[in-house]
Amino acid sequence: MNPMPGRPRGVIVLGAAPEALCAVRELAALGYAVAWLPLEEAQAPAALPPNVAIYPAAELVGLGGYAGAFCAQVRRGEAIECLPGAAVLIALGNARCYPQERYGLPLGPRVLTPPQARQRLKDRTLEALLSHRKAHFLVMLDWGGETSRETAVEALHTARALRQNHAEVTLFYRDLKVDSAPLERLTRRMREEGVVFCRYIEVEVRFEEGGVHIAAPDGLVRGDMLILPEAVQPHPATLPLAALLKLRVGKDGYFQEVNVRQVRPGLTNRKGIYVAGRCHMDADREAALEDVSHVVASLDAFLHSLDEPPSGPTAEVERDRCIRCLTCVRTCPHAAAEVVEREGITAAYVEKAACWGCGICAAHCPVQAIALKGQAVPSWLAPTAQGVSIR
Amino acid sequence: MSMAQRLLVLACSRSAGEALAALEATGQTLPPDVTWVNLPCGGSVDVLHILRALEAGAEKVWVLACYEGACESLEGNRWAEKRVQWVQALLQEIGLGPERVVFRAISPTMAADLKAWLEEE
Amino acid sequence: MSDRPRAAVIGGGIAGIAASLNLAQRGIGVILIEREAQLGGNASTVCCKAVGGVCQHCGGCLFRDHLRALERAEGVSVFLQTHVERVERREGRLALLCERAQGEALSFEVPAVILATGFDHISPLAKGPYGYGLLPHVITGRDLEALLQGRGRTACNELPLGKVAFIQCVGSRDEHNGRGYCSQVCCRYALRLARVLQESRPEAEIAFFKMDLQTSGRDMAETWAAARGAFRIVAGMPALLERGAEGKVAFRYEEVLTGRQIRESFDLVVLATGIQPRADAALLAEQFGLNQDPSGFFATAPDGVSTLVPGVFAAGCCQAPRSIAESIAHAHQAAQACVLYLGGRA
Repeated sequence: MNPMPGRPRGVIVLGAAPEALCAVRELAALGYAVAWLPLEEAQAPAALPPNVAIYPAAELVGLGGYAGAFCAQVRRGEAIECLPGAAVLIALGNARCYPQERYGLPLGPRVLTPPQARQRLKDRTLEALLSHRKAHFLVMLDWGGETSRETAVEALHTARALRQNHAEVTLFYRDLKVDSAPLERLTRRMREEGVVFCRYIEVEVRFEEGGVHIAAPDGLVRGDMLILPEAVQPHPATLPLAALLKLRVGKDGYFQEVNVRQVRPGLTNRKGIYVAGRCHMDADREAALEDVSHVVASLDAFLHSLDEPPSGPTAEVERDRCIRCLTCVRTCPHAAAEVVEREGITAAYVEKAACWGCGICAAHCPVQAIALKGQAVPSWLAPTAQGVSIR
Repeated sequence: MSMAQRLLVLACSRSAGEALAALEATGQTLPPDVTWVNLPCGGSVDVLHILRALEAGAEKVWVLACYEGACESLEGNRWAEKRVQWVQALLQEIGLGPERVVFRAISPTMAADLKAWLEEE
Repeated sequence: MSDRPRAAVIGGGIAGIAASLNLAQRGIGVILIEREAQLGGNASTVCCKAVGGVCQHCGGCLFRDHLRALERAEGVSVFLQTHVERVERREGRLALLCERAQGEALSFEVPAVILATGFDHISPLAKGPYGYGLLPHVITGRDLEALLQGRGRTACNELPLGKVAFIQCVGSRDEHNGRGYCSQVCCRYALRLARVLQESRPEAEIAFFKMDLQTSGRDMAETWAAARGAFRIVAGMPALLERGAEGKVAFRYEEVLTGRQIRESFDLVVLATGIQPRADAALLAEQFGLNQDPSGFFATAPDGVSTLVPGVFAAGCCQAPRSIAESIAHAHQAAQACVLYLGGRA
């Protein structure tokens, strides 16, 4: 058997995050024809593999079809075009903000975010401070609430960069996150390089005499500048895209409900649609890109499995009994049911390739027109049109 | 009719069904007066299944499904619980004990708990 | 489907099963070799930690899901009670000379191998002064998992749950023990277990003794929000556990933030032991010609799954400590790398 047969299939990638570019490259390397819709203004990378088509200004207006045969409806100018794909991978990334309410401090000359501090290091506008022998930066994690993984790691890298530019750096933390090998290495190196780590529970921050004073457990620490990490939030396109694609969103606004059975790489409530990276997890950039590799591996195996007929029960509609009430369409968590015209009958239809065989539609159908094929309940238990009489 | 009289279990095969399989793998069997019906998901428990079980003479009906946040179809377990509540209200209304129908959440790793529940009943 | 197996997976824990399933989905024949009499490894010993009818996302149930999928999968041949005795290279293929129970010899020749040999729990004896095995009511998180899985939630009623101390990082983040690394899973399982204990005995006073609690991730958000309010969390680690009055366990610790020395006694102490490379990791590394990282896990290329030996890949906790969900994800990636390797050879 050739492990990589013809691969006629394509994959649709949605999003402009670094994860999307990573996914596009990995999928292209596997031989897939990739249709990439960044869905927002983004700088197109200089070189893309030949089997990648990028649609920079395209607007996604719908997604038809099902796993193995999706069709992304895309508006380009006046025309609506249909881009085929066997699977969809979403990598929107997340959005950033400065959580002023959490910190109770506006940004200003003495309060910077890590990206601002790094920009100034790059522009050399921090130099005045740094040439001063005791330029001292105070980096504060988990103040007023837990700092997200991504921005905490960014703050750590910034603290390290400042230290490498010969500043004094004190990093305030509550629980240092070291639960990944790269983070452990990073924090260890930072200590070796002379970043001071200071644990706190409560701190008081005051601005006095042209400096920042932090009353911490170890005593009063005086610095020149306070570095406060940004917060992350769901990408603004998450909800509209989820609605368009009939995908679930968690209470926290990110893709996927937090569900233990959906942690398997990047699954969503719909077969053939995957999410990767920071649009569904709290991850630093490195972990987000790792997630892309996991998801691509799972997606690739899934597309191969489409060659085999699906196993397990699937819902089947007795179409001439259907009353077109749309109950199944509303209740199917996997967006597998629709009302369509087929063979002259307009009635409910459950697409086998999209069905998970849960039977939610069958239990809901008010006229018992749906049954799970391949999963029989004992005949004495099966609902009948006659109803029941309890003694 | 081919059903034991005491207890009918309508089980989500992904949680309760697996717990039973784990129990049976240790050589234990269901009590003879318990009838077990595996369904693919809690969401496929129909109100009519429960009512027909009562009609067929089951003293009690258990509906076992996944915990909140563990249903592969996201909300099959919620539907199962809602349907049990619906039947309970109905039984109340017609003067039968609502306690004859019970919803319980379970996970595949809870074979020991399942055994304890069955012994308690 | 080819008659000839294309890959062997060594280790039938959650990572090995997930890797096998990924390969099987592509129609690649798999030989799954497991040393024990049952599949599952460490993941099969994880108990359900749902609290208040809500899942805490520990992933314990995923093993059974995977086992069921494996039963349905085509093209996976499982060999239980089988272990690799010797590995030979034959014209670019790997010959695995195995031994089964009762000394029966068995050999496979495959172009690629995924190692998914898992981990050993760090022995609580690694922290001698914690008195495991000597003091009553000092147990490990693993003991508690086994108790809950083996006897059900009612087992909580027999535990002395007046004052409970969870002691984190037992053997992890401990350079003196040669384990400078974080085991990644212990804070999570301990916090979840503590909530399970508290559910059955709401009056229990639970304290956590920790260096840094690792609580990031969406799947921990609910647990952490509930735990923060419910448990006393102490930055400080006890040095020595001893017999206290009335059969209790007593210890002294320094509260890091205040520098205060405090002596306290508890009815039950749960040691959060972590993950270490399996005792036979060095042997396997030698058989396959792999490198081990300074902590003893299999060393890989920057992709995290390819070892430096062509055709040999690592999945799950044999490469680094991981949760069940992370092991599954990593196994998928290892399978993908394996497929690319097989494809490149065709």
